[in-house]
Amino acid sequence: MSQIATSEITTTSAEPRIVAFVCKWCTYAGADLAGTSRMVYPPNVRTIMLPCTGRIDVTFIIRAFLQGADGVVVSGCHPGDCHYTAGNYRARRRWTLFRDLLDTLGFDLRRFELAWISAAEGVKWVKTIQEFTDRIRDLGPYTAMRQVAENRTPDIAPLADVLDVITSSRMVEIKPIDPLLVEAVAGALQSGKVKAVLGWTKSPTLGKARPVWISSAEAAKELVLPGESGNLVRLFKNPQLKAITPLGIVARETELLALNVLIQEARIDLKQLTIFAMGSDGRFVGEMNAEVASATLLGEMTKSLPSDRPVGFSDSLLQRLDELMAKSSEERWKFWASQSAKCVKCYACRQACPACTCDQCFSDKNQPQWFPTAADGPGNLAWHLLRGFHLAGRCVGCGACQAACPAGIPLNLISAAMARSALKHFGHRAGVDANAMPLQSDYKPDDQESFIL
Amino acid sequence: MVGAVQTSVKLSREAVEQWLGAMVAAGTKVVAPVESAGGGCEYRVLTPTAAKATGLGKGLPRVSPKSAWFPRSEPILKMSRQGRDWKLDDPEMQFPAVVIFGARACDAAAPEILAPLFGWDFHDAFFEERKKSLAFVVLACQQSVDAACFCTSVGVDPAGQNVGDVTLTPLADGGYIAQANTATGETLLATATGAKAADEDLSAGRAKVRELIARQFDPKSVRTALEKRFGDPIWERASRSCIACGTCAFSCPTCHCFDIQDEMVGDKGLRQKNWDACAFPLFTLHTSGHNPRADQAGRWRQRISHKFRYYPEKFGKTLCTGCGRCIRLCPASMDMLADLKELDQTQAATPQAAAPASNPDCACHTGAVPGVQAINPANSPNIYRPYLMRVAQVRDETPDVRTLRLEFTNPDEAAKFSFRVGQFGLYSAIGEGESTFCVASSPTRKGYIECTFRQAGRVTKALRRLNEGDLMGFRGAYGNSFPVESWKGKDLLFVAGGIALPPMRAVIQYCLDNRADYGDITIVYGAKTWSDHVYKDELAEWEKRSDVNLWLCVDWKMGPQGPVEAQADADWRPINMKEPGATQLDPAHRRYTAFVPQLVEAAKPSPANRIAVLCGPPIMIKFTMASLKKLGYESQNVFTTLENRMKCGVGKCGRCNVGPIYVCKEGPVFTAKQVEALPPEM
Repeated sequence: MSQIATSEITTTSAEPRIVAFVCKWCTYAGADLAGTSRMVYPPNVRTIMLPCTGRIDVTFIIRAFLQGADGVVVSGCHPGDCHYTAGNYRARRRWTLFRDLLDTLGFDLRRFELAWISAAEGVKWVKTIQEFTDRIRDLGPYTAMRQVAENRTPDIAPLADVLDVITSSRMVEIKPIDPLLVEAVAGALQSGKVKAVLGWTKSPTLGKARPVWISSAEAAKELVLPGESGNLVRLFKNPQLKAITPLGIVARETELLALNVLIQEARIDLKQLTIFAMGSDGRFVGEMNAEVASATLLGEMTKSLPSDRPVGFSDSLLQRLDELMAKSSEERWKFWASQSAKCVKCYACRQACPACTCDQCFSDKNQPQWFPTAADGPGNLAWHLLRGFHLAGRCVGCGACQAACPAGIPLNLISAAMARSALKHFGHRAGVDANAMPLQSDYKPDDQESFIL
Repeated sequence: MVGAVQTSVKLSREAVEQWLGAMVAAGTKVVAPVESAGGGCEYRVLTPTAAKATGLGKGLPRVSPKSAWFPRSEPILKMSRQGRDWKLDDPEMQFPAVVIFGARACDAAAPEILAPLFGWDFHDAFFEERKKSLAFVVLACQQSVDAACFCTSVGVDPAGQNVGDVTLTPLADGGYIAQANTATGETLLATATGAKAADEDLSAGRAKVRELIARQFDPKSVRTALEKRFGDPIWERASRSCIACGTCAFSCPTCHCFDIQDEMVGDKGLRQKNWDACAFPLFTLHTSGHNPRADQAGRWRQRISHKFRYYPEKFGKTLCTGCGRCIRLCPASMDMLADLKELDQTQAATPQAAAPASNPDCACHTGAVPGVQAINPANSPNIYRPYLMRVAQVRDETPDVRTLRLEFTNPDEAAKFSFRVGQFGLYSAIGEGESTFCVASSPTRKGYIECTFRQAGRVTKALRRLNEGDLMGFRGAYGNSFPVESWKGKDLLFVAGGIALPPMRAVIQYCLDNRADYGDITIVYGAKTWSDHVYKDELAEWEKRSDVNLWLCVDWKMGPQGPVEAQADADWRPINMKEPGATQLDPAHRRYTAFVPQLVEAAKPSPANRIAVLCGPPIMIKFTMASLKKLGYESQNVFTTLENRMKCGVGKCGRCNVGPIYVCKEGPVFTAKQVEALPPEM
């Protein structure tokens, strides 16, 4: 971080400011070769060496842009040449997703270059840097980014874009509950098969669905089913629950998908969990373990999905995404800049998300503090980028984040774009298979991309 | 609000729009409800091209316009670096006039409620200047938005009488009666073109809405219930749903807790106040990992107690306007209203000792607040602005504890600065943030202050990187102090463990510098090992002095079954582990192997005419208190200094609030008796 900060990329020189993150074994040695061979290339680039492209976190790239870079180059060993066997394969997968994320937000992709440059390719390094610097010089300073990064005194949002405000359903509607479920839950609690069951009850004042756990058979009578959004699996984050086993959960499709994501990531003890499965028609399907429930509830659903359709997201949302992507990147950037300007950093999106399960979120870490914590231009942009990226391949499209957002930011448009990207490039649908590898922990040597030089 | 002014004008809907348009065209910043696509409305800053309050009358805007008086992120200090030098500047502290047009009474009532807190002897100029430039045109409610509205229960009038500068009451024909409530309102209304209102009787409509939003609970009985029901199961039950997000606090017009963060970009940076929420586990988390408010149940209790018990007790106002947003917007459907009603209805519950009213030595009660208001750095109105200090000396106390001696860079400030023993300050590693420590040197040692800290988090790490001659910031001194004057002629006992000697060193130094004023001085100090003892030079000096009775100890070595006596070091003589009181300490030998409470029992300092001062980790405090009681000490004669997490140090940010106490203002010095009466959230 201090290297980025001290690279003087914030000076006001008219020259393009470029940061290059390179791996130690190939590209840095390649750049060294260029130097010792007396090759000439523009001095605009500030090179920061890391052990491996696998270590080049996307946070570095965001940070560099927020600190004033006009362009960022990332480079490392060619596929197959990684000193650590597979670091660059993993990096390639992440960059594929990250580039799609940046594109969704309307980021100017011409300012972000990726290249494989070996220790022998001093010439390629020179050529890449020369061409990139020329391109950035032509593009000029990254003013669209500057405007966001320099907005440090957020105000009540101006009127522009107000019509894009999306009001969420906020789980107002409550569906009647299947009496068979009440019977099953009460029975399981009575017999001691489970000590507590995660379900929904009705909130007293507004009658909204309220996620809760019940531990007595009588309380089962209070169970209800929520309308659209929300995901019960987020309750697993409550540390009080850790002391209670075995547990049961009233699970719909969306909860099962989320459970599978947590199972893939070994965050949940499966054997301790009883699923009270609910069909999409609101009927009680049965009391079963997660594997059977997955096969029962998700099997048919996933088979019937068109090949380009991620799980979980509604038709109207995907249509909205199409409309957004049909716009120019400048329009998209403007749209997201105005949306993220509304963010108050309450972290309701994170807390409501069943997949956000880190014990300590990156945004709460301060050694080093990668991200500005303020709810201002740079702080909000960084949060929404990183949140979107961390959920790529993990978001099950339950919409809980957007329903939770008090500012009405259409957060799940970002998630939907990432889910599409995961499906398009890697055939990955979040949570459909508990035994699948998590998308970003996995790689294939033949993962395809078309953007790395 | 000014009661005498009563201009009423009848305005048609068009006239209202013209009035609004004229204000915007004249360059006034107008915030008004604008209809949103999915129904409902939002507060937005109007632009000249679209100066229409399309959401006027379309319910309650989704989030409160709190940003107008308390922005979600607000720069409070500008920092710039040149080589090793730092320059500190105030940010913009004059704000343009803002009119919040069509605000509901529940939003317009909020700034008044917050005023006593932000003006509680330290005046937060950011809030006060913004409030001064703020005017409200209140739209009277005609019905409730939904069942979550409960303004009448907390004394806010939905008909908008006695709140805001102008009140607009809708009429059946689509027009409004606009009535000016204040001089500001008169001026605002002068730009509207309307007929003088006929004597229309609006009282029936007002009575109707007050009836529609009926009173649901009595804040007084809620307050009584909160005093009694600290350990009630209601909190655990309510917190089963809470997902620890900040929606309730961030959508609330009166929640005002904040965090302070530094953010540098290159050589320039800002220190910002950011909204914070008591629902976040991080809110009270200490760097050591200890979290005094450890679970979500406690955090939910804090939210309700702060609003309905602590704040009214302190400032005479309920910290809630009944807007209902925390109920409406909660992603987990938490229901504060239902909990309040339950508290109201069922008062019979577990009896608990009443909390202490306040600390009699607190500066805000005695009226004496030395060294703060008079000498703001650079005569700035900015209470968050630190003095620029130079590191004059760096001393390593232990491998991870360091002492910095600081001198003022500005001789004027040095001359005017004064403090009392036991006060604390906020030390900035500029560009990284602030940390709270007690001033570790005595005011009798002139010309400098010292701080001693263990490297633990981001700020202390950065402070440790400072060398002699480097610049850093200091704010303070804040809080109350040890009543050393009233201790004159008494014997003193100081008991400290580990890193807790620094907060006590100032008072020890003070008493030694005024040695003749005090009787016997006994100091008991222990740490894990000799290398963990701080101030070794001074310890050696005290050890030699005949007028100081110093006892030192290192911890027992721990075996699998607890302390292992046999391993005690020869220099550090073991004391009787089972019956420490039976050990006869050898006055010629000052070093023992023991835990601090045991050494206290062995030293047997007589409680007669003696004041004890105690500081250390919670576990040590607990057992030492028991030992002192065994020796016959009464808890009003035992003093301690509390170290809750703090950010502002001046009673604004809400972080150190425990029970009815703000540790930064009424503390950090408390008697054990006062601490015993506080909730266990230390």
